[in-house]
Amino acid sequence: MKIKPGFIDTNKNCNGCNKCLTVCPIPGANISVGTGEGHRIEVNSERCVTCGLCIPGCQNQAREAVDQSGSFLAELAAGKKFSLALDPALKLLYAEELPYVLGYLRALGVEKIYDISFGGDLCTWATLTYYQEHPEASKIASFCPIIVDLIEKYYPELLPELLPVQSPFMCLATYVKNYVQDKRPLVYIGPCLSKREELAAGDFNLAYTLTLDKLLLRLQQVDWHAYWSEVDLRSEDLGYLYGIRDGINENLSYFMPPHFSVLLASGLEGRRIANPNVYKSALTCGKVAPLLLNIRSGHSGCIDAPSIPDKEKRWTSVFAAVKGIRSHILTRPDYKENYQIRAELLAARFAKLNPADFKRSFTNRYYQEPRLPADVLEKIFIAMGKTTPASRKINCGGCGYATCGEMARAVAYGYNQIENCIHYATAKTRQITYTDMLTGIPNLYAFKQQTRDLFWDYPEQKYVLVYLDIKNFRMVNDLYGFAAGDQILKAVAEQAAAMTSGKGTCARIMSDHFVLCLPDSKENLPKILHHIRANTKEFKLDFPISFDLGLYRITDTEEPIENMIDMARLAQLTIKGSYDVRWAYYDEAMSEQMRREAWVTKEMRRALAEEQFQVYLQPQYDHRTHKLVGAEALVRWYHPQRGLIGPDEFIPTFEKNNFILEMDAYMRNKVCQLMAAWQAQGLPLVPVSVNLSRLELFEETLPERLSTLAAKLPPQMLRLEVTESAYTDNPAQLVTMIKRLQAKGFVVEMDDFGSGYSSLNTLHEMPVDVVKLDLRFLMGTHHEKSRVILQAIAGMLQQLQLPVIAEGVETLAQADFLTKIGCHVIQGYYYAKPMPAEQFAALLKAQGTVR
Amino acid sequence: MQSWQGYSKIKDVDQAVAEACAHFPEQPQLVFFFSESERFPAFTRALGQKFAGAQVIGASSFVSFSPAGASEYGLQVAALTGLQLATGVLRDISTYPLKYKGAVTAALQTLAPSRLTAANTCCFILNAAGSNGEELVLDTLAEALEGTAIPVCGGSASSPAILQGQVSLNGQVLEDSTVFAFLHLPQGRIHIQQENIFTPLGKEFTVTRADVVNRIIYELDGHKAADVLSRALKLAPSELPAAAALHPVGRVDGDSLFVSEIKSVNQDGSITTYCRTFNQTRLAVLKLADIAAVQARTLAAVHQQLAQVDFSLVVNCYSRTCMYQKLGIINAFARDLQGSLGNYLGLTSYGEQYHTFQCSLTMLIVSLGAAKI
Repeated sequence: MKIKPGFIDTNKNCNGCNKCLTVCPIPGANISVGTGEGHRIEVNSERCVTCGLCIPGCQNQAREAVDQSGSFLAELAAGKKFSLALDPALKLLYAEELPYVLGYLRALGVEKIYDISFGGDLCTWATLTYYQEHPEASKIASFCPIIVDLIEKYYPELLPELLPVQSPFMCLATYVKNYVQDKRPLVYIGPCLSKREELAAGDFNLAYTLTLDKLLLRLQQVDWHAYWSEVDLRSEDLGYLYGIRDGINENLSYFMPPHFSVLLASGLEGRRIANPNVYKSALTCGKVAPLLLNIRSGHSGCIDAPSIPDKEKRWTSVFAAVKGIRSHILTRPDYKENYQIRAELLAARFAKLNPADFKRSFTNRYYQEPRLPADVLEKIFIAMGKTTPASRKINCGGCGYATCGEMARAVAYGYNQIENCIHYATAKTRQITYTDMLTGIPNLYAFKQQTRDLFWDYPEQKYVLVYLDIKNFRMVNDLYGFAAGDQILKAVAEQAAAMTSGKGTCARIMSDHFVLCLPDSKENLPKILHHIRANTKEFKLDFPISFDLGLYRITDTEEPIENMIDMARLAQLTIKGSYDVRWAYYDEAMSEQMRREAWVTKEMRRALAEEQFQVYLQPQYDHRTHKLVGAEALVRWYHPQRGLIGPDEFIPTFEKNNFILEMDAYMRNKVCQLMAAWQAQGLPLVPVSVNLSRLELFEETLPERLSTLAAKLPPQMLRLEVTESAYTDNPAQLVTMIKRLQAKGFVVEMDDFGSGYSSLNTLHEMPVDVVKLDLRFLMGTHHEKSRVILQAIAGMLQQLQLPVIAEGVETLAQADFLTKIGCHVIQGYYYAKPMPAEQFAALLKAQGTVR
Repeated sequence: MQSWQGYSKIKDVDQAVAEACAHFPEQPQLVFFFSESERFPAFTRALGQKFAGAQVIGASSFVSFSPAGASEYGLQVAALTGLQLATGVLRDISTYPLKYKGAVTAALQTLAPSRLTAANTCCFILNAAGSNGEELVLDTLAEALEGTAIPVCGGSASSPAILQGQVSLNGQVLEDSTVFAFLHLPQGRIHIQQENIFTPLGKEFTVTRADVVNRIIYELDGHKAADVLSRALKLAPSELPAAAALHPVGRVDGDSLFVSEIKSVNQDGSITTYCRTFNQTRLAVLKLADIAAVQARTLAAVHQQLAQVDFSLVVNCYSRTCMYQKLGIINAFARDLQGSLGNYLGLTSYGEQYHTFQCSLTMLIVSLGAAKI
């Protein structure tokens, strides 16, 4: 907003408290600039009527009249000549100081000093003349420049009702210019801030408008008591009384016929200016004529002007002065006559003047206010967060306006900003605190509170907490961009909100993770699944989107919500694979599993450092000769407190957290050390197989590292087991790696043949040296069928000239059968369980003697 | 409804009137005329006298359009009968046209208000240019027509001098005024077609600080308006003034878009437009579309609404007219209008008014004819 500087200014004390808005009767006269700490209210002089109500209205002394006294004194000191026009109120308010100040100013070079009270007499005479010419007129007094400004700018319909007579100040200026022929620039001194506007209309040479208090401030260091002067021109009647409340009536009543009435009406006293029709009605009410309607701009007249500091302290001076004036004038012989005599005397006093010189015209400066479309107001209310009728009627006044509607209008017109509405700011803070900004549904913080409230409100209801995770969400972002991902999140949030509306709570707690709390009922799970299933089609992405749901049945609502979320999350984590919607209920075993995993993870590094992992070896025997022909190295964990921990308890965790790489490397080192030691002891070595994990298989340097490790061992003593399922990860890369390992002289064994879904294809593609059949996968519940299958596999492997080791053999019958079909190398409990290295070394020493 | 059309380039005013109106009936109900500004007062008097019994509405126009083509000089005039109409004037449009709201309601009362619908009635306005009062006029009409569905449309008179143009009613040239005419076809249809040759660029912003009265936009989305626009157009801020002509902004109102041409890019980073913008309204950045394709759609849309077009009034933005002149398509434009609409009269306007919006760079076609069954 373009803000033209005017006669009232906002200084640096302004902190945007809005008090000025509260007292200002004109919308748009105060413009809010900036927000937050930089917020301040500037005066828009184009709309301001310079009533000055904002000056005492401001609690921070941030509003003040522009002080021109410095420039005036400077020019005076430079030798420029001025004449002064003193407001009649000065004599009432500053009766004691005034003559001395005037004396000082005269000493500085002021030529003439005129009291506007003389203009008051002229004004009385001009008004009298008007009413003599228009005896039935009912008019609005035009003596207060604020009221005239108000009517010219905002109430053009009242323009014809204004009394076309100049104000006392204008009368004086006219007289001085036309009759005294004083061409010097005029300087007004008085409490009125609106004088500049008043004289702008005419061709008056008004140089400065000063307030006496500001002038006295500048003259603090001066001993103006050394000076003294009277004015050159003053009222000879009651012109001084124009400065007090009812002064107009008091003046005119002495010269007008008894049936002439002056009606006093409130103007700017309240927060609102009265409807102009009220004034129009007042002009015609009771058909009283002639009538002058005096609309007050201040409660007690000019002596009550906002620019006067500590005016209450001066009431005594005012009362005394008024009393003195009345005594002086009213005791005059002519004032004991009737009004006609007084009128004649007044007319005689000004007989040489032309009444037409003191007539006044007015300017229509009204600009029609832009009509605010209803939808604009609606948008602003919504932007302010006022979405309900009640919220639009809070009318707290904190913004400075009486109603929320006024504030919204001010925002629409650019006079204020949404951020300055306290309720908007509160709502925004609340939104940031409680809402997930992307989706608009509650955040975790709000979810906890709302869920607590839900439990409180419905203590008998059983609830289930659902942890919802969008499968492969990262891929959506990677393939389609974050904008697409955000759309999905919003859609899911919408669905979550819809599902829980009225009966539960929901939140987005991070990324693609949501939580819902719903009544636990048989219907809810299918409802959730159906709802989510149904709406995935709406995403229109060429990518399957699905959800994992972890559910936790809440049995104790006193439990921390965070724990409930953790349980539901745990259940969700157990879901693996599948692009369809999957769900899992939490059970205690999951917690137990989690605790185990947590313990393993906590202990694993220490275990490695303290060599708690031990190499166990399970022998392999040729069932035909019962000779020891090889072994598989297996890991066992001897924990100092817990004792022996089986691989099933820690291997899955190590594979999850990639610790398996370190452990396998440790194991290989240990195996090579053992074999080197046996070799040094002269023991007959047999090939020992070690596992290669899937992660390790794709490390570029693997062949070289293994080669270095096994360099001191006879060739092909260290065998490498690769699980069949590793083939699915990256077949081409795996084949290349196997060939590289074989090139280094390693024998590669396919472990767990038959455990995968495409074993034959794997066999076809993987260039392994040995195949290990795991009877756990191949021996189903139908023994006859299993035999047939085994026989076929054994036959096939023989034809492929692939040596076979049968693993997991537990009985003689199994061993005999396998040997019969050509699988004569046996590993299993039939011959021996995995044993410590020392025990195996003893076996080697005994050359693998059969038990 | 019947319409007659005429034009003349004769220099002498009376002879021009005689030539243009040669085939007109003696007593038409309504006469519209456009001419260049120099002779406009003379044409106003002459036509007012010639058709003393008719409502004679005129406007000066930088370029006028009719089946005779596009012309910067001459008189273009049309006469209509077979419709109901009521005319009036709003005065003081630069400050307080609302004072004359009564003229609107009084005119409306002379028709049968209960029979007036959006389909068979419109309020056509012509404003004297340079007042900046078009929006105050629209506000006044919105208030006067509240509760009716009567659409308002029109334009501001133009001349080669920037933002100057005159209007007249019944032989009087009016200053600081708007002439309004309620056109009503009891048995027919009146359709208003709005044409934007600009299309959204796909970027929208919220006006967060604006001076409504002075038509200045200070901030969009909390940032200086000029910065926001230059970034949206991928331009350096210094390049924005030159680009502004082809990238006006559009005020979004539901599915509708009301174009607002940028008048200036100011030193303080604000932009001044030719149209009022309230705070918290949405603005779209626009780019030029395929003019020919848009026009074809516009004219097709008119014929989709009317079984038969008897007469049309066309209000074409000054900037569009200048653009078409520069592109060399101004006469083709006039011919295309004639080819599609038949009898029509077109004005170059400083701003177009439609519903409650003052627009720029817009064309409005008000077509009177027969409704589709």
